[in-house]
Amino acid sequence: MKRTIVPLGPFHPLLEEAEHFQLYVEGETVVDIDMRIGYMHRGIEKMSQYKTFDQVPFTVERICGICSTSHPIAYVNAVEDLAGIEIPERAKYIRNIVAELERLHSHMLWVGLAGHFIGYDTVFMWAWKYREPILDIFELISGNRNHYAMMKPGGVRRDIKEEDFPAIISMLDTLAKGNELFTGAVVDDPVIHARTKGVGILSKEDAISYGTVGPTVRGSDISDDIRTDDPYAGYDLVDWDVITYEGGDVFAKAAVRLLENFESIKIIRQSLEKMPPGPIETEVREIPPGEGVGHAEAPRGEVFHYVRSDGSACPVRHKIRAPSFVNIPSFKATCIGETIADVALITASVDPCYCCTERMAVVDRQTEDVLMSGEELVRMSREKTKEIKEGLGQETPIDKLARKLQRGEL
Amino acid sequence: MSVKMWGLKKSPWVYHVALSPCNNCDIEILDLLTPRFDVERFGIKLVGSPRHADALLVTGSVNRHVLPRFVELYKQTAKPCVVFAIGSCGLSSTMFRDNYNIVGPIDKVVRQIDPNAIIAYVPGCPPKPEAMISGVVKALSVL
Amino acid sequence: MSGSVALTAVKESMPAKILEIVERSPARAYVYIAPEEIVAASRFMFEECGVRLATVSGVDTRSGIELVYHWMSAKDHQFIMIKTKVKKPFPEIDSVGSFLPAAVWIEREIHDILGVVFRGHPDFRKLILSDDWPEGIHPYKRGVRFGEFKA
Repeated sequence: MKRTIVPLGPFHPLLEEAEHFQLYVEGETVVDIDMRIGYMHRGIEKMSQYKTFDQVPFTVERICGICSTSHPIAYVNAVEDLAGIEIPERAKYIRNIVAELERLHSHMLWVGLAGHFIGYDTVFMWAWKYREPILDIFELISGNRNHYAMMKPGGVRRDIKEEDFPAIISMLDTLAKGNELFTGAVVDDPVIHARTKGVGILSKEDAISYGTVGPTVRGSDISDDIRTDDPYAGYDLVDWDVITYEGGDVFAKAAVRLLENFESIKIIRQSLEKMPPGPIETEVREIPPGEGVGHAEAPRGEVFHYVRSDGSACPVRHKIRAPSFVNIPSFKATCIGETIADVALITASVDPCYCCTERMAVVDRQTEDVLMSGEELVRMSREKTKEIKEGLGQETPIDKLARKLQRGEL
Repeated sequence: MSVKMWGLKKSPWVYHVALSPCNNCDIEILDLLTPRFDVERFGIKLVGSPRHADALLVTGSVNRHVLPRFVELYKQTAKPCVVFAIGSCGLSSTMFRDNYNIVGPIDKVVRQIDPNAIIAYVPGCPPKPEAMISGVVKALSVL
Repeated sequence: MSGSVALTAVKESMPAKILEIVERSPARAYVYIAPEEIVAASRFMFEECGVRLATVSGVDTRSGIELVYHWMSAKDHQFIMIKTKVKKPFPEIDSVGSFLPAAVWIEREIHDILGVVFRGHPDFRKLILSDDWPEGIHPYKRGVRFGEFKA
């Protein structure tokens, strides 16, 4: 069968071979979807067997750059479960703060990408502009904008100094205001409603049978959140709510993420106030033989680590399962029956590890010709928005926000 | 010569290639487009096809899955071009170098196709956007 | 020991013979069964107890390949692990992915890295290794040393 590959666009990092997601279409409707992964496979689990227990957090950090601290937290949870280690209270609050800051930066990143896919490029610029101060805070606390290396079995590696609190609080104040403005605009925007309501619905039954996690499942009105299901760090020491939204469509998933930003800000504020003075780590001499399971609520969902030890310095087996591994198969339930123009948004709503979204191709069921690439799908999505806007003929709340941004009023 | 002057004289078009990165370098590259760094004022533009590119921004290490695609891509890129190995993974594969799925760092693969390739290295994990801009500007003055 | 609804149901009505139960803590319980009964046990966990399959870990040990099915019970705040062991050199077990979509990719991955065959799996292609990966080499088996086999 001859395949025609269309060159891919400027925005996303991708290769010319676009076989990651294949959408089989008949006319404009998607009838099947096939997914190929393995492009990022680097054999990290095997590496863990040759690293000592305290070297592993540095390697697992680099599984994904966006959920950079969720993997180390899940790993140290597994080791602490294995060895029965209790961490000091100050360390619990510090873990809260770092994890929630990461959730904020990841959700802002997602908001920017979703904005680009829909066709609101000012939203992309604005969301990433608000994201920069979060990265500055990370640099203040840990020395790096990403890959902060804060976690170790038994506690955290660095303290958050009292003199840094005002900078963090002032950043949160600005972010809270920005998030509120933006959430208000999204809820009222008729174009966003038209593009996202009723699109890519993941029903409750499908969400459960595919075992989906994170905002993907919370958008289908299922209240699964590891931070309450199996509390770790200091989540049971602060007051906050699990956000769910009903509908299961793209709008619900977006709403969950935007509303979660407020909860994250709440958690960080309380953790800064309640943090007691004291040690930030428990000394860990050796890890006894046994096995441990640890998980964490990353911005995308549950990150799962399983560690087995035989008493030596290195783990015997380290199993890692990222949230996208269970969320991506659910495309079979959400994309089939939808039109091509909506697929880019539906895949983005699950927030797969960024690189995965772009490796898409649309294949005609009968002829097996590759009709269009991932960038084409994004372009189709943006054109659909343009048509809807022209049909409306009036300025939307997001347009008003965009004008204010361009004038520098926000 | 200040960077602004240089930018006015030359507008490098770059094509972004992600091999098997953890995406941190890719996010920092996208950060370059945002208002704070705004590389477009230097004339650096991200293009949609390697055929139009003066430079390849390559992140991650080469693994078995992407190897044939990367070779194909390099051959299609218009010459002369500069290959930027962005991040530690591209420089040396760092901790992944002995893994069963990793072929090697970028320069090992590129030199096998083209021994005279121009390769520039931007170290860091991830390199800060300022470091990337500085690296691109320095290297492109060679072209 | 724990007030776990799911674990109580497992102890009382699991349709598979329980070889051993270890309750390491209120949040972690390990249940050992024979490999032939995995589909009945998994169906029970998913349909009767209403718990979520987080993933399946495979560990290559001297006496066989140990498969640990991690079931998360959100309402009980507990992980219930169903453990079983399949014999080498031809490790085979019935596929849970035959009725549970969540298990489909998980079993493909274990096949790629450990060589376990899941009978009745709906879609048994390579998942994480490239298509031209040499047959028979499973990177996570004990004999494959780090740095020895290179792509």
